[in-house]
Amino acid sequence: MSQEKPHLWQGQWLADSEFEARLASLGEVTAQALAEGLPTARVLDACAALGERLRESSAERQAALGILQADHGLAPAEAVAQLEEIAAFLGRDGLEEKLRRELGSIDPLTPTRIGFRVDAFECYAPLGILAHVAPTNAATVGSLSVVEGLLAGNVNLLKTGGQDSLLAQHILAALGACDPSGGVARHIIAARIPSRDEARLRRFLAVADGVAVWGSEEAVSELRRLMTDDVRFIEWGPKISFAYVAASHAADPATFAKLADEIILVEQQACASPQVVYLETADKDELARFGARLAAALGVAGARKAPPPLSSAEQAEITSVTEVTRLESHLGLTQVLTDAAGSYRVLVDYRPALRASPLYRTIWVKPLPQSEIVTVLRPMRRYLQTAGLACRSEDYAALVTAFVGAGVLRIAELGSMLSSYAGEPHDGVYALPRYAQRISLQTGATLAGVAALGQLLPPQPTVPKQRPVLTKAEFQTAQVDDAFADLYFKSGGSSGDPKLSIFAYDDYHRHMLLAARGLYAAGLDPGRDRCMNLFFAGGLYGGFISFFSVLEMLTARQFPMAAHADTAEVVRTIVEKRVNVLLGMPSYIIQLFQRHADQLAAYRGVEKIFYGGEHFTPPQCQLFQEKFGVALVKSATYGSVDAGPLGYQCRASEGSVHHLHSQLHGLEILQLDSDQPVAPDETGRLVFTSKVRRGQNLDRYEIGDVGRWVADECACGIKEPRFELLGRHGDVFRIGTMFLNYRRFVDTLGDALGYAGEVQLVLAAGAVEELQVLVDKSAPEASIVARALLARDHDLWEAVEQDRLLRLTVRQVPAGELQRTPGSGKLRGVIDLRIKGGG
Amino acid sequence: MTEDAPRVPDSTALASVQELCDFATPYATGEALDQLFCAAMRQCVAWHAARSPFYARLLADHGFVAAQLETTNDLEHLPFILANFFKAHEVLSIPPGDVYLHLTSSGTSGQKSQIFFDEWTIRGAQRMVDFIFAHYGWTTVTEPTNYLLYSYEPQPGFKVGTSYTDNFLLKYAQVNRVEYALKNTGDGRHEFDPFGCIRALQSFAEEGLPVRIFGFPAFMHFTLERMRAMGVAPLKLHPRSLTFFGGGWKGHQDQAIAKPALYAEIARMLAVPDERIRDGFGSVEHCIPYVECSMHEFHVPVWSRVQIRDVRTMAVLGYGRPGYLSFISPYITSVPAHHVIMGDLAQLEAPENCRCGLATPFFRVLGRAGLSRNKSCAVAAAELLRRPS
Repeated sequence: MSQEKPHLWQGQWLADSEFEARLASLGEVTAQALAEGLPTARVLDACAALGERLRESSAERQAALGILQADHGLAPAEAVAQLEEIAAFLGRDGLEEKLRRELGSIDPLTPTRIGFRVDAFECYAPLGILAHVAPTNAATVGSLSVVEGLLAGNVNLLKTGGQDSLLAQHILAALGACDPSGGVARHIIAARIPSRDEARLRRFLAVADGVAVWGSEEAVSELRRLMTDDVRFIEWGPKISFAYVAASHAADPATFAKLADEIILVEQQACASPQVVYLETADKDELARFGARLAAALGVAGARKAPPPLSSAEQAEITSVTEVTRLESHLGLTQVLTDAAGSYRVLVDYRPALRASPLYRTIWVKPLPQSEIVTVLRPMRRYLQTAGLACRSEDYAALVTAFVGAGVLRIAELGSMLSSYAGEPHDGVYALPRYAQRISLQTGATLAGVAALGQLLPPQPTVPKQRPVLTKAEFQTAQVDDAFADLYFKSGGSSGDPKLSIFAYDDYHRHMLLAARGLYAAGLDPGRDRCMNLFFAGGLYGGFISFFSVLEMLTARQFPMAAHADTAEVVRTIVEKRVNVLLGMPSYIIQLFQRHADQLAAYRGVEKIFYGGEHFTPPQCQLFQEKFGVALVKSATYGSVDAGPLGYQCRASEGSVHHLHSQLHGLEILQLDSDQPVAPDETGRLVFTSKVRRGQNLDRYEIGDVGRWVADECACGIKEPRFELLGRHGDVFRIGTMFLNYRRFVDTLGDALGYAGEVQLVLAAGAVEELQVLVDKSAPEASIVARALLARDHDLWEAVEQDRLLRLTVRQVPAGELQRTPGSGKLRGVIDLRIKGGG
Repeated sequence: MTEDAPRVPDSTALASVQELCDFATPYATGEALDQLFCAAMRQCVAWHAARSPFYARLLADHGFVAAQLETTNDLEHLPFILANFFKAHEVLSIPPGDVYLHLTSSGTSGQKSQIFFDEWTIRGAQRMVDFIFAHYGWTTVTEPTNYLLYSYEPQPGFKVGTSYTDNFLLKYAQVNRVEYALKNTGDGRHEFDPFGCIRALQSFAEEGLPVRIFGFPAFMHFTLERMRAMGVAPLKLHPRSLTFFGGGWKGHQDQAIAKPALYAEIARMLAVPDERIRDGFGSVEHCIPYVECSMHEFHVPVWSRVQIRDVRTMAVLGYGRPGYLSFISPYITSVPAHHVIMGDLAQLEAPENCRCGLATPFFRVLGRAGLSRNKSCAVAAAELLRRPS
């Protein structure tokens, strides 16, 4: 970057002649970039990265500070403050909040179902090629507007003025460099074109679909002359703000101190700075006294900060206005209060009409009784922006009503007129929707089960983070900032001491939304189904609560029963209320069907079962189908309390095959005994990286499950990657020199013997290692069980019969003797007595 | 001229004003003239103090009396009024019945000045134009002359100041034909007619009579540009042709070109000699004519004095330093605008710095004083003024 190359063209610096040469291809180049698309997540990542760079000692920071001081004449402290403002704007949290408030979602460009009972999708789309004609000499407005344009997916053309610095180009170049894919850079062209150069400006703007423009009506109409009528103009016109002091606060010393601060802080250069102070009075003397006190306060406060040097035009403007006001004092209309050095000017004017001040510590003081607010301010309605109020709380509502009625857009406390919050509307509108268009899709039933169009597109590949795998223990010990600690749930897991998982409400809602989409894909029909929520509640358990939220988000009819002890009442309700969908844990559901088999068999009305926690075995599913008429048995969601929903089943998924919730997580499957990725069919450990989690890091979190990729395309049409769950990592154990999988034992007994009961394995050391298989009374005789296992598993047969490395025993025990997790009551699959604490 | 000479409203109280304004040599200097000027100013100040309550109060609040004006060095202490003040307030020193003419300025901002003239003031100022035209030998009453007027085709009741001026500019040379550039469209508006202007110039060139071109320089420039774009061959107007502009580039500031460039363009396309291309500076608030000399500088005529004031302190500045342009002249009796600060930036130069040989100082206008728009997104006064309320 240099004065010789002042134009930024898709990441490249160009001299004037080079820019001129490229202009002919502007239409083609921007069309290509627009066709490429710009995922919002990528823009957020680049902004977050740049924000960090600008805060640490980097080349970008040094260059920006240099320009702010050399070209904008800011003192070092002011330059640092200005840069901090830019960095703060780029922060992820603020931009996500802005997206949520202004466009309704942090993923606004993905067509999403507007409701689960309606076959319509909506989203935002970029306006297209969005031009920004920056105001001269306002350092950061242009580049931050480009950031907003990028968030809405636009290709952005920024025009800076002939006399402007290259700060905007510099910031945007740095932003482009923070996106490794180059997409952000390809969506930015920032050129320095003097307004007089109409020919070049016309060519530059000719491709624009919309123009964001700052400045007077004159400036805007000059631009309109250069463009066709169909271009959308987003005008950020000039604004005027004022302070209002209620009679109650007219004598409060704090009022004058605050006024002086508002006036001096940025020398009234901001559109939110007060140009007039209105006092609630109709009395001239009172007004004059108020003016005198304000003058005194300005003298005191002004002494602490030297006034900036003014251009001759700015000074002439101030003097002209002051001298005319002085002349008017001879007509009894005004009073001019200033000090010997002329460092401020309080212009007391007995006429209430709102008027602009020449700024730089020049303030009008005028009278305005509350009853006249609307009539006096009405003529200036188009320019009104902020009113800074000093009043009592009992007067606040009436004053606000009057100001809003007059057309004021922002009401702040006196002293805070320049502060703002993330997502606050600017000049009466949200910027982002103005830089976008709202799209609707009517899909009919074609996309039943699909909640967002992104599910039908191959997901963006994620680059795994370079860090060691995060274990559950490490995750649990990490500290969570109080700002993000809204909800506390008991952390799941079949063994060990229960800990707590902590969520921000935003994360919780996002998780529940994704789980809702998963359930929708699995076959829940919110338009028709009558669902009973049988998950467990109480004791900080999240099961019932989260599925309550999920069903609520689905707008599905819900009977929030929870895992109620009185199963007779539960079944009665199911039958009487024609419940056709059950959601709950398999152990509870099995109990329900076992205890009330006759009733439910007669009813045959339960059509769908969505389960969580453990799995149903194929024999169990078959039983449901044949005896009870249950047509669909699917996992409600695959996830953990810690990480949230990880995967979901679709209508075409069988067994334990799930689609990944790729909007929430990235998935790696790593080898069992090393951190390398598995071969295509190989079983490995599932390691998830969360894309959205506030205040916590879930990077490469080892969930404790094992599984493998399922490569072929799914018949349901959803392209989110699929994986097959093969049990807990804890299901996989090493004994007799082999890896064995608990699940395999359960499946074998189910397949070979039709056994649908519980299975527990106990591993013990001895002269030879021993594997005990515990089954319940519904199993056949022990020797038959042993024979079935050995027959089906060759590795096992080898270890037991051939190599004599392992002793296999089978025992039938009552259900009560089987070890369970204290708390959840879940059956423990593998008890390893060889390790300390394994028993 | 068949009319009576203009007379001040009170020949006793304003005798020196009459004498000063009767002085027919526009660029004379000397001690006697300075004394006459001060005497006229003393009378003028007393006149307005007695008839305008506002002006009396202004003087009283400043503790100023007319007698303080003994020499021209005392002029800087005379309280002034900004031209902008007259945009918002009507101040009269004559009974409303004596108003002979009232003019509105054709300014770019929404507010217009309303200045009221009695018969003396307007005719006195017009006679100064007579004196200047005579000084430069431009009074050729018997010579049939063609006119191209870059001003508004007149309509009854049309009050724009520049138009009024241009009509009386026709009296110095016999009218053969008059062509207006801003044609009256019949519904209260005007439209610039470049084709008509070009046709007029072509036929004037053919006809061979001297041509006089008056009015807004912007439209002269547009005409010449159109000639060039259309490939019209340069014309040769009669060598005693004269161009005399006024009113500035109002409303076309963005397309303004520097004077030397415009004059070169005129010389090339119309063959008018450079020293017969002149600009005039004037305003509704101060009607004294300031006419470019042969070297294109605005020399101060004998009937007024020019001061430049610092934009921050309002102190009077010497030669060569930029500041507010201010005029002092006792010619005006209707409104106390005898010491008016204009909204222009200018600097004053010593007479020796101009090779034309005139003995009075001259001033160069540097642009408007102040901002029409703020650099920040905060609205500026001028922007608000444009709104109809």
